[in-house]
Formats: sequence, C-alpha cells, structure tokens
Amino acid sequence: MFVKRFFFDVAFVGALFFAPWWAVLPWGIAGVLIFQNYYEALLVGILFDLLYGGVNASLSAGFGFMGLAVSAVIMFLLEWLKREWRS
Amino acid sequence: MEQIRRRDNNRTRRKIITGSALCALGLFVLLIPGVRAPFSRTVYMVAPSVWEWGDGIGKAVSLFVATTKERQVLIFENEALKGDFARMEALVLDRNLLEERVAILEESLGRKGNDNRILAKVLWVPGRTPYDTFVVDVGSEQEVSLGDLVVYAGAGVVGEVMEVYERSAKIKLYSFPGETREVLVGEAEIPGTAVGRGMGNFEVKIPRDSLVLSGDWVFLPPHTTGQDKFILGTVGFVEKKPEESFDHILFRAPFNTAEIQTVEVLRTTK
Repeated sequence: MFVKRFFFDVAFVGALFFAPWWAVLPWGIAGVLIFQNYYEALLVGILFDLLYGGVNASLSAGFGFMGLAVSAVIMFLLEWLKREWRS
Repeated sequence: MEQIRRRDNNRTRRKIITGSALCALGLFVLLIPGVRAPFSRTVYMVAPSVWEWGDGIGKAVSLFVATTKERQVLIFENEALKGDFARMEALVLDRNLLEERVAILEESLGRKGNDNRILAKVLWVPGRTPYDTFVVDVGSEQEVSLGDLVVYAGAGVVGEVMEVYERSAKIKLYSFPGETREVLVGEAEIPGTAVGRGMGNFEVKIPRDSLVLSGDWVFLPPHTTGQDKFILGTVGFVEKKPEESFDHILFRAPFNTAEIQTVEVLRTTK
C-alpha cells in the first residue's frame, strides 16, 4: 500500500506541474477516497499556491490560498462522508 | 461497542487536529510575505527545470508521433500556425501605435529610446490555473526586477513581474481577478479604471454616452508605465443601462493569453 501511495503522490505532484487545475482536482479527490488520512492533498494545495498564486491577492483571486482552501474542503468533506458511509 | 466508538472518536479527533494544524501552517506560510518568500524560492529552484524537462519530453513525443503519422504532422503545423496567426493579429494592432511613435520621434529628432527589452520563453501558460499568472524563463540573473512590464508582440501589454527568482519570474496578468488599473478608452482617450475579470478580460465604467465603439482600443496611460502607450485590449461590448450614469465597457486582450509562447520583459534596471 505504501508503494502504491508513493507512486500516486509522485503522479499527483507531476500533474500539478503539467496538467490544468481541473485535471489535478480529481486526482486529489481520488487520493482522499482511496487512501486513509491523505494529508498530501493539503501539501499539494500549498504547493499549488506557492507555484501559481501570489501574496496580497483579492477575494476574487482566492486571497492567494485557493489551492489550500479547496484541498481542505475536499479533504474534510470526503473524510466526513467516508465516516458516515462506514457507520 | 462503547470502546470501539470511543476509539473511532479519538481517531476522528486526531485527524481533525492534524488537518487543522496543517491548514494553519499552510496559511501562515502563504499569507505572510516574509515566510512565503523562502518557501517560494525553494520551490522555484526546482520548478523551472521540471517544466523545461517536461517541455523537452513533450516535444520529443510530439515529434515522434508526427514523423510516424502524417495527420499528426498537419495538426502540429496547424497549432503552430494558430500561434503565429495570434501573434500577427497583435502585430497588426501595433502598426498604428508605431506610426504614432515614429511621428513623436521625428518631432523630437534624435530622442534616445529607453526600452531595455529581453525576450522570455513562457514556461507555464496562463489559463491552466484559476490564478491569472504565468512563469517565464528569465529572472534576476537577467536583471529582471519586480514591477517590470511584460509585453507581447511589441505593444500588447500583458502584465507585470510579481515575483523574481534566479532563473525565472512569475508574471501577474493585468486581468488578474479584482486587479484595478488606470486606462484610456477609445480614440477620445476617456480615462477610467479597469477591473480584471480573469483570462484577459476586463471591465471599465466610463461616463454615459461616451463615444466608444466595439473594436476601439484600450491603452495604459504613459504615466502609469513610465514608457509609451501600450495596448491593453480591444472593446468587445458596450453595455448601456438607462438607470445608470455610467456605461459598462467589457474589453479583452487582443490576443489569446493561453496561447502566448514568448513575451518581452521591459527591464527597468540597466
């Protein structure tokens, strides 16, 4: 499982560099659904903002932490749904 | 049963605490410029090489496929021609500006040009992220500095340098959502404040019944650039509402920002 997760992470970061955002998003969703405690989604969100965002961005530009915000919402929401489905 | 539930609750609490701590750490890194800068620098020590490497692989794969499939060759050529066409469109727009510039030069006879341009390759095109930014392959090693103007095809201004690294720089498009900028609209050069709407689109309010038509140019005033007038866009739509004292002008960059491959950075440092 660790090896599988490692290669998934490498592909996820690769997608961040070469794919448009709408192709990276499903990758993060899949990661949270497949693996337990997929905190890598949050780290990739931070990396996304460091790579493409900027400081002092306006509200319409997501204040410069759009990637982190989206990945946090996805992670907490999907983890909650996973827990609900199990119980 | 009670024990299992308690264990589940503990795990959930741990997950929430870890996730929240990571989010707080992320916000701390992203929102405080002094903390963000070293992290960005570290990321940008690697990122340009990754993009160049990926670009090389992409080109090699395209070439391989193109040589094996004639149809693919045609598609490839078509893509290249599309890029050239977009560039030519912007160059045509530049013609009248050049005429004006030549007239001014002739008037002042022997005025020394103050352009200090450097050609830059776009490593990461705008449009792939919700942020209206892109990355070029020139940086502090080429004397690029914060706030330098970025121009496409000679006269179409694209944006300005927002972050500089050794061998790369991040460019913020002027259409960056929510970004405001002074502009001159149409032949009458009506002043207004343009608001970025993302992906090369802008909106500006001008006094009602001003003589502005679809296709008119929108410029950046010379005093804001410290250079000559630069084309920011062409008017696409003029919205008039009888109850308002302003006309809403929607305009966009005269070229497709997602197809930009090379730009020129006007360096202020010499």
